[in-house]
Amino acid sequence: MIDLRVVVEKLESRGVSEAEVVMWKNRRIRVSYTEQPNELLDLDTISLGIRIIINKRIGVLGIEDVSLDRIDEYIDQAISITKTSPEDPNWRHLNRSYGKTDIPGVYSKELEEVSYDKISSLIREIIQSIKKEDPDAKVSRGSLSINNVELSYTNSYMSDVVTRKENSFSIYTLVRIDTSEGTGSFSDFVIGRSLNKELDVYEFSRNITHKAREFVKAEKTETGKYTVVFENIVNAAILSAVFSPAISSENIYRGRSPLVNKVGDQVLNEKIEIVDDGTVGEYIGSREFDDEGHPTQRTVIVERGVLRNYLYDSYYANLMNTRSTGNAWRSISSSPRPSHNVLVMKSGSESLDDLIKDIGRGVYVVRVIGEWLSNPVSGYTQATITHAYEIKNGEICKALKGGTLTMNLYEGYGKNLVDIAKETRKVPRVVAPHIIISDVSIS
Amino acid sequence: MVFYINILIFKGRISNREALGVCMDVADLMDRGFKHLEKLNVKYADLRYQEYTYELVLAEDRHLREYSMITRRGIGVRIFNNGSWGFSSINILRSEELLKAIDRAYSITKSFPSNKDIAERKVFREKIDASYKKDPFEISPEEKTKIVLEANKQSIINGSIKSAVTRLGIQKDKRIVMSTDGVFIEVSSYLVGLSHLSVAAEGAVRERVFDQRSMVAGWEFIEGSDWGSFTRELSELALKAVKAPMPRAGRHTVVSDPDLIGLILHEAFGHASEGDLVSSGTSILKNKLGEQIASEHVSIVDDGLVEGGYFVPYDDEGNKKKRTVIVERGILRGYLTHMSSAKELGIEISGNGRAQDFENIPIVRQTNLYMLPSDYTFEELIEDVKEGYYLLGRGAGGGQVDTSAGTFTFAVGPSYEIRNGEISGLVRSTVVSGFILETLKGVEAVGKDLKIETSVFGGCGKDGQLVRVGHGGPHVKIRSMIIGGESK
Repeated sequence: MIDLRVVVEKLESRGVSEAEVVMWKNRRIRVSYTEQPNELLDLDTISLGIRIIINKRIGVLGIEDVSLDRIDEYIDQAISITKTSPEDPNWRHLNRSYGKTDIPGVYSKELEEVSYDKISSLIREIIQSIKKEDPDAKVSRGSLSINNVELSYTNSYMSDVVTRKENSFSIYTLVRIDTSEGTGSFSDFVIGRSLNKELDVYEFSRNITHKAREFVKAEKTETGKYTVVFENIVNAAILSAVFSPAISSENIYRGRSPLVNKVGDQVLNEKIEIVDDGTVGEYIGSREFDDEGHPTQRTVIVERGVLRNYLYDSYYANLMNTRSTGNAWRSISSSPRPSHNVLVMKSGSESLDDLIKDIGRGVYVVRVIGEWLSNPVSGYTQATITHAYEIKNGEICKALKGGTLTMNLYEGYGKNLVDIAKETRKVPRVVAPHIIISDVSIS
Repeated sequence: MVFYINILIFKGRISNREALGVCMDVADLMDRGFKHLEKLNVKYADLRYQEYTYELVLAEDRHLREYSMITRRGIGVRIFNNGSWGFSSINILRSEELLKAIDRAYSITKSFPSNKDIAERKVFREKIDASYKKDPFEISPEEKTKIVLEANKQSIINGSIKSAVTRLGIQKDKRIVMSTDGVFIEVSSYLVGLSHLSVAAEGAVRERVFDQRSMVAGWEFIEGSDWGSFTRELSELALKAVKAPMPRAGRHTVVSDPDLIGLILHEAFGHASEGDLVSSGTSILKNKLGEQIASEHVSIVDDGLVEGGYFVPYDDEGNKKKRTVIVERGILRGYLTHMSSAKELGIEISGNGRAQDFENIPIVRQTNLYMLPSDYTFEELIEDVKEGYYLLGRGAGGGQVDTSAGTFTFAVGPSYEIRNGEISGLVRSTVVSGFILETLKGVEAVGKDLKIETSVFGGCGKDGQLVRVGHGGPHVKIRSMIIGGESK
């Protein structure tokens, strides 16, 4: 096995000013299924990310070929690239504040030891539950994934190697119902740390099947301005696509955010509270330290609508004369960049059912696609509706499909915010409640 | 069309060892793997070896931000047995690791028995390389950095350009597929390109415009292009777009440029034609072969070898990638398939079984999907549009489709209004959406031009796998599409 300290020492002996080595050991199991299991992958992967600095010149090397005989060759290549690169005048130093935040529950033995038989029986149970719920229902696509990740990190300022472990499961199912009146489909997913505690096969299967049936007769959404209920899963997707990039210190420094110089300003509605919290075991995205060895933390982002903080890695923290918030994320072949760990929007006090009673004419948007095509630089938010319901006089009426919704995030989550419901949903790296916004354009 | 590739055809059978002569350690390893597979007596198995290198040079606001390189090397093991697929992989190239991966894939097929089958197929044995003049990995880092920094500086034309990011991407991909039914295919190619993002500000309003140019070629493509003009034009467009109004929300007649029609087709139609989605009932095109599913102006093909596109002479199962006619004058003629989906649908394998890398299993993917040109000039396409939009792909940021619900969406770059048959004012970037079949039936006219492109910076995602694709077509007029924007 590769000794990361030996790699750092080897690099330093070759004249490198600073060196950083990260190693990922992943085991990924993934089964895809329709009416029966189709394919199963079970992979062990080891990969190595190396960042070297020679007098403010930076080189990054990613290796997924860890047959030890070639590593020296790759290191030679990386050093030669780095030596010929121009200096980055903004470079200060690698992260010096390393350590771990204790996070119980971020790793479970249950997932590490899950057997093929257990996976097989869970999948068959889901397929059978769906059939039992509605004999016309067909599983069009499904997948069950289990990811076990172990990350080890060291750099020139450390004398040892720090290691963290996380694992999680995700299960996704798409159900389709064909009838003489039309076709309905619906999909959903569950993520978590424990299949035993967090996956209710019956409830999961029942909900998807009922929704697929409801959407058989879905009608097109009419153009207009509506009060829109964004289901928590849609709210989470918008926060991730539009709000998260705007609070990244990289985008702030580079002028690619509408929130530049807005700390202390009222940027969202006073009902909104958002934190970034990578320290809660049950949230997917939590980890004991970030991808450059800095401990993770809870950072207040928006307090009663007022912007309080941006999110930093060490590069931008050094550049902007502040401290890292433990938000560095990286792939094996890129420098770390700041991004959210887990964005958590505080829920309201009333249930969605109660809040809908106050809506005269509206649309309850359940699923969208293309929200990631929104523009976080301008705040212009857009998504295409695949599943929604009409709301009339406080009641949910017919199913709707199609249509593009648009709004400016800072108006929608600002002056046009109507209310926030109490039901939240956990998706990867975001926890969010249902949210109600007025004057949303749908075309 | 094979005008830009070198094809080395081995006449007659060659041994795996001869074919892998350049890399005997891998040849030994693969031989040991197949000997072990023989003992297991499985119905079918393949071993896929891959060597992959990607170099990225990134400049941001006049400075070099990153120079990075990633190297991958490994073997994927796929076994079909007991009616199901088992898959594992290694990136430690030792025989004990490979045998362990084979045993793991085999034991999966025993735990997940199923009643699926795979299609009979023609066995190919060939080595094929995409042609290039200058090996981009022989070019010095200084020269690469100089080009990226100069292109980045050229784009910062005034203080209203708040951010400028320029990337140079170079990919080398070598894939070898060998199977128990005798396939030996080796495909190698280089893909190079440059991308740029400009962000312009006007008061509190910010607008970003992104574009890229890539080609299956060597360094000659990079040094033969004027990247300063390319990035400057993007900044000029961002500066105009930030002052432009949003389009009017609603349904409008549109004329799409070739950049965008490729994206529309890829999202709105290409995914729905993928055989695995058709056979599982996820696609609205199921049971529609022979039916009129688009207007008579529409003909669509998927071709692994086309100028401007990505290089896919064979898929990752070792099937020859044919030019597949999917739609002919509006009639659905075929689906894209791999070994499993072809069997389930009872049709031929089209050579579309593609995997992101050796760590992923081949699934049905598009290669270069595009619409065939017809005979309209651009002026003829817009002349009878009273009020509509000329939608442009430059600055577009991709798209997404729900093949089951039949809904698609994609981003368009800064575009133009059409008024009384003439191009009018600029409007800002937005999204467009629609229903797949309704949109294809609404194609009223197709231009005589044709442009196809690929990208070294992105690709198509499906089931967590990203593969390089190409897309394009001519200018196309569509009766009605939903445009996001301001509602009055």
